[in-house]
Amino acid sequence: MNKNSKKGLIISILVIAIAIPGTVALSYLFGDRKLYIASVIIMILAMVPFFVSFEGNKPDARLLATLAVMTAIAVVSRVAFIWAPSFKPMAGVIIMTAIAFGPQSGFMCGALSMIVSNIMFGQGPWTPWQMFCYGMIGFVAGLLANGKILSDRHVIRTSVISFFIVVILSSLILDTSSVLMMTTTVTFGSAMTIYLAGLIPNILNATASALTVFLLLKPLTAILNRLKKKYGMNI
Amino acid sequence: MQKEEFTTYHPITNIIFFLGAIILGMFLMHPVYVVISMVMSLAYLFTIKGKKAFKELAYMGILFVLMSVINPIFNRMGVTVLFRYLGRPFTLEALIYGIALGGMLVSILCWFACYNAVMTSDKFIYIFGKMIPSVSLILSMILRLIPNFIKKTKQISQARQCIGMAGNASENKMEKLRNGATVLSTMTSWALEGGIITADSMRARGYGSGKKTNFAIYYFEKRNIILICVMGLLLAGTIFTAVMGGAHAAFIPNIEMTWFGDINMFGGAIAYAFFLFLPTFLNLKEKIKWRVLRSRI
Repeated sequence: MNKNSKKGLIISILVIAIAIPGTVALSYLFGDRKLYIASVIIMILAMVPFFVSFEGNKPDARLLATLAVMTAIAVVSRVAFIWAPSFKPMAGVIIMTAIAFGPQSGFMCGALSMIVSNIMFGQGPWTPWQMFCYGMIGFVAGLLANGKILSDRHVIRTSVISFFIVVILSSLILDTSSVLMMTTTVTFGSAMTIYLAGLIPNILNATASALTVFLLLKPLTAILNRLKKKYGMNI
Repeated sequence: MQKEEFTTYHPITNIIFFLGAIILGMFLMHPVYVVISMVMSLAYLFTIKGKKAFKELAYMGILFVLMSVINPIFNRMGVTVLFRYLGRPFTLEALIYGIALGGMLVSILCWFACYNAVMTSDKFIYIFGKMIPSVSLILSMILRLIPNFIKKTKQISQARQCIGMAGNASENKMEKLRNGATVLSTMTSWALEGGIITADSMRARGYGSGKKTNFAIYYFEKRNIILICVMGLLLAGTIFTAVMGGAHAAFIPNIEMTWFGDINMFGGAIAYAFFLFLPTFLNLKEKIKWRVLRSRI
């Protein structure tokens, strides 16, 4: 373990062990909006370890360039479907990136594609939530790919699991942000209404993503394998 | 349209203002403060965008009405019952709470609309470039690649049309989708190969062999120092009075809040209003100056 990644590890432990519980404790002083404000701060803090460990690894130029290309494709796929509300293949591209390059790259691809596409669509209070949600989609997909659950050998299984990853994580993270942002007092009724209203767009989005994985996983793997052979890459 | 004055300030000055406006806007739920934030953000949005601001206001108006009406339906706590629906009370307190929350959200969205106009991506990368060098490098690469990709996609589909594979003109949905997938995978292999060539070229020029330096065109002049000091003072005033209880407001079950008689509330509201008025003031000042100079000719 080199010096940089050690520093990264220490920062990550500090964030998880001290900063997040500290925010929860402090939030009791925040008054009315404590749930929402604390949740935004925690969302931002939770991304710190990922970014720090990515920086600590000193990624080489090839990984940087490849990640930039995949993220740009993810963003373009969201922009290209601007006419179809909530039917976006973006999460599918992120999942395929995660399958090819692992959980850390998956997280970076998801989080960065959200922040970049929001530079075009407009940043808002939702940006940290979307970054975390799509980052987690990439991270979980990468972990499952490491465990051989998602792979290019089983396209149908992979696209079905992608569907569930997207639905579950969007409902858990994005809809919770709407609940905290839009309601004065979180009650069972209001929370359930927002979760149920969010379910349809989430399912549409996940269908688009699963379809993307189904159609493009094989060709993309072929392209990547060819590149690996041609340039002698081992990413 | 005339150039916006606050944009010409240093990115650090810009980000301090927006962080202050947005974070305070989320904290302060006192109706007077919410009204101040709403008025100031609308005024600033109007000086930036002119008449185009009305278009965005329509969406925000709908959101505002929705939030003020829907919240009291779920939130049944409150003393003053206005009417009953399906046996459930619809209370005045919950309605006012909903209106305050809707106003807060609209003002935050307005501030973000201003942020999107002022904080361009190069400013964003300038601020975070030193903290997260690799990530900000990727960010600037992505921002450059996107227009490239859109251009290349058009080229590919035109080339495919020339050989009679114009799937996007087809009526068949499945064929349309398949054509899109082919174009996308062609573009991907082109882009990935280009990426690797870029990376090799970067390595050949010594990427990673030393500390990364950044190019930036921003200067930190005296006017930035003055503006940051003024903002700091006003922010400190707002936060101090808020901690002293100046911005206290509770809605449920009883409405109880400080009013203008309280010195903390009065001072805090004035400091908050002046803080949020700063960029609008700079814009207006510049406009008036131009008008005066022109009329003298």
